[in-house]
Amino acid sequence: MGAGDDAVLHARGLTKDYRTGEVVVQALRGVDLDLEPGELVVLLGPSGSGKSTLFNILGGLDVPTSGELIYRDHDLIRADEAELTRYRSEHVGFVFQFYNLLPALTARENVALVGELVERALSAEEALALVGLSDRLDHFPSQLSGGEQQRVAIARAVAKQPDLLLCDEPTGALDVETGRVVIKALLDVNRKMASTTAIITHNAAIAGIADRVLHFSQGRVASEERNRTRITAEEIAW
Amino acid sequence: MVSVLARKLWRDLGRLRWQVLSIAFVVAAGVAILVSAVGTFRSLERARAGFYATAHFPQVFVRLTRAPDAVATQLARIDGVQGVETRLAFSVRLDLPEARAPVAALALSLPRPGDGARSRLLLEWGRLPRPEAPREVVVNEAFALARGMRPGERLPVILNGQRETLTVVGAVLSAEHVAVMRPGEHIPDDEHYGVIWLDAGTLAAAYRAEGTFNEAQLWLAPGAREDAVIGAVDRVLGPHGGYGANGRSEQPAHKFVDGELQELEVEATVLPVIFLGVAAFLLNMVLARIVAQERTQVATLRALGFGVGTVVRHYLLLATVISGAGWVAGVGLGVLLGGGMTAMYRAFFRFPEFEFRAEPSVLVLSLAISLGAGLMGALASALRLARLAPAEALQPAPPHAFRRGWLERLGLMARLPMTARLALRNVAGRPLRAASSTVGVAAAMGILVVGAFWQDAFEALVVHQFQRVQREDGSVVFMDPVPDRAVRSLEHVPGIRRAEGVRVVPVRMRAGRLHKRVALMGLPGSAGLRRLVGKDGSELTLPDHGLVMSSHLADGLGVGPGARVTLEVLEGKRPRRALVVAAVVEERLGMSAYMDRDALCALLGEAPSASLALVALDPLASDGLQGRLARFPAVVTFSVKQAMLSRFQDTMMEIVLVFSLVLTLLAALVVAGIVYNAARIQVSERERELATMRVMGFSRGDISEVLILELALQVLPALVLGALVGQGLCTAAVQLFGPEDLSLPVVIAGRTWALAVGVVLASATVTALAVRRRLDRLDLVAVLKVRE
Repeated sequence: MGAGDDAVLHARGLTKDYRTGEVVVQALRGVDLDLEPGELVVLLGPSGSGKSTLFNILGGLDVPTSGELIYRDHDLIRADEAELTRYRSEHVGFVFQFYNLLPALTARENVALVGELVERALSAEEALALVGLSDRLDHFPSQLSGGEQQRVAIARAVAKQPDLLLCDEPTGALDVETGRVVIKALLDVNRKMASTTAIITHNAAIAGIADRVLHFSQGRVASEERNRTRITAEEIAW
Repeated sequence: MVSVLARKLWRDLGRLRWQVLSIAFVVAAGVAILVSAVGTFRSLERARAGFYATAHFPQVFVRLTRAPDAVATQLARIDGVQGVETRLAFSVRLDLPEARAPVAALALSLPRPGDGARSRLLLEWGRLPRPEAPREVVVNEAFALARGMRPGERLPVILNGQRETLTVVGAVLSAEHVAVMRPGEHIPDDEHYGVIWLDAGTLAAAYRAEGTFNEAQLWLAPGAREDAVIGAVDRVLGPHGGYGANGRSEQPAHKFVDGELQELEVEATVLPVIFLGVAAFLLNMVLARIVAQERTQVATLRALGFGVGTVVRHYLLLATVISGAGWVAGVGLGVLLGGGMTAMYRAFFRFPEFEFRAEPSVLVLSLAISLGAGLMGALASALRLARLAPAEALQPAPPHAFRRGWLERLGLMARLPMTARLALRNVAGRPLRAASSTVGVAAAMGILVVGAFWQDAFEALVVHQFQRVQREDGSVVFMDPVPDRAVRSLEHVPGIRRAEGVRVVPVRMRAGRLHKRVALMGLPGSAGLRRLVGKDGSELTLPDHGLVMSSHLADGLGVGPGARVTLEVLEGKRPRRALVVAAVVEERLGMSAYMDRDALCALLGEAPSASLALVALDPLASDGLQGRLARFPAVVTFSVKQAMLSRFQDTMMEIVLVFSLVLTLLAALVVAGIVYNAARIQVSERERELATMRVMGFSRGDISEVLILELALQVLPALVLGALVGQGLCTAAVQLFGPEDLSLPVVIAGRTWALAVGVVLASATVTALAVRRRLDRLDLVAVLKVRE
């Protein structure tokens, strides 16, 4: 966990307490983390380890109870709602387990939505070409398979050319083969666009595709390893 | 022990509290209208029926010039007659110089003691006159009230030219005089016209009528045929100057109250059912959508092992609690409103026992409609969900199947910003859902319009009837027909600009089996103070021969232009003549028939004469006109149209407007409830999508825009549709509108449209703000974690 002055995202001592009635649940117990430009990190951990809480905080969807979180030179701890919205719209791309596409918009339109947020966005056609969906531009989500929907979601996330691409269990709702296609799309995007990519998963099988693997346990990063060679999507043994 | 499902139900209600409240509110409004309106109307009918029974209201009435008392025995012998009562009746003037307008009364002889008929006068206060006190009188209660009479009040009355001072000893209610109208008028004027009952001997002596009678009332034996009895009565009294007997349907007070009840009938029975129907439709729609959102919960319950029946029952219970709460609140509100309306109607309808009572059948009906609509809505959704295999239901609902449609083919979409596209597509892609919201809001707006338009219709009626048709400012009634020069002499009275003599005769018109009694007016021409206005609004010329009649009369007789009717004059030599209907005119109030005055006088075998004069007044010089006219011995009464108009507004219009106000208020609540629910459900259905947009970086403003645009896409067409629904309901209401001699135009004024559109837009705006608040608090993380 090098201090990395050029880190895209820099977190120190992040904690997050959830208070439900009189019970306080410590979801994060002091997370230190740096995400370097262009790297692909897999955050691996069992359910309840706090990885989703971290995902939310890194994405600006939630604020930590204490700690330090700096995106480039922006302090996200003290950011207000409007600043967090701007952070999400300009810098972060999200991919969710359940795709979260807008069913009323076609694949092209779901991606083009991003164009209304940032000026430097890729065209929907370019972004969908990146994930191999050039032939499904005008299909509505209901006309696409799960894997295709997730690839549209990836295209939508990368169309804004985000500094940070956050993926929460992106293959969680998919079968093995489809999951492989989706991971391949993520790897392609990471390679071509050099977006810093963090994939959060409990699926150890995909750890091999990462530059770095962070093992998450009980609200903190328990260990870290760096893959000397990254495997391809085809090589994942589910 | 409270079952877990019961606890879930309780918490679901808490979670959905605003929706539950607003839905219950819609139901309550619908139920309250039905309970209060039908209850008030039935209470009125019951009060009248009770009054008739207590007061021993006769069935056949007849006036005549004069007949010896012995003729009564002949009447009593008519087949089907159970009882006869005769009396003397005279129009008298009260000598009250300080009154603003001449005060007159109908003086009736009190039934002689011993014949048991006095029970028909119900004492409101004081006592009946003592037999040994010939100057004691009782008056009708409304007259006493309007003139502030007290026991012992002195009443100077001109009896056949002689001034007599009578003493008021009591006030009574009489079924025959629930509404007391001057002869020839349609509306009571209690301050200036009343009924006085006094000793038969005093009255007979004053008019030199000892041993005679000029009015008779008859009671029929069970099963007797009224028209047969009327025919026999007319045969008996013909030689004595009988004016033609009539049944209750032509008895003035009965007819008046009947008309008032008919005025209320549509508002009180038809519209409330439509209201509750609309509320039920909304309830059905809303509950179906609320339950449809419970997919995950249903799946979870099913996965836990609850049977389809248990799960469906659970949601039916939810619907029952919501509808039931609305019903209970509606009954409470309805009883309160009904009590209030009944209290207001006591001022119009003077029945002794007039209390509001909720109709049990209405309670049952409204409960059945409320519960039924709620249960059906919930049942459809709950069954659909519960029948899904739990595993399938636990999966996220598949994305709604949108297809490229006409919006794309028109090439409109590509030019719109994405938020607009999203909103448009959501509306166009789920047309049934959007349509149900639009139809719901439109229906609610429709009932608001039909609740509120009555005042517009009545005002249009007043303009037509009292400005276009009846252009006179007042009318002067003569004791007996006078020659034209007497009419012209009125024009020399300061304050009167113009006077036109009109000959009025009571007639019965027959066409086939149908017949009507009306006052036929012989007009001196058609460009005078009384105009003949055709259906298309153009003015017609009075033909030299033949009859012109108002559409009410033509409809009542089932005739049109060119038809022949038989005219029976009910006074003088009582000629009968067949005449052609030359034209039908559009009048909105009363049944009128006109013909050329000279032709009418020729038919009567008289020289041209006038029994009343229509007058145009000089407003600057009309003060003291009453006094100046009192010096004309031939003049019986002088009435000012404006005064009649204000009485019309105070009674006939008010009666309808009380209901209108209640209908409008409750309809406004229904509109608010339905708009809120439509939007609120939309938020729930779209929460996940909107949260996704927020996560992507769209601002609160952006996502509110989408929702508000969607709301607008549903509400704006509803304004157009609602206007059509409102127009349709008003047309139907006017067609169903009861009184045969009062017809309302379908006129909806700008202010009513403004009210209806304003209530819809205000509800939509408040709702949009509430929705916006909810979106501002959208928990992004929680929403994304939940699959649907």
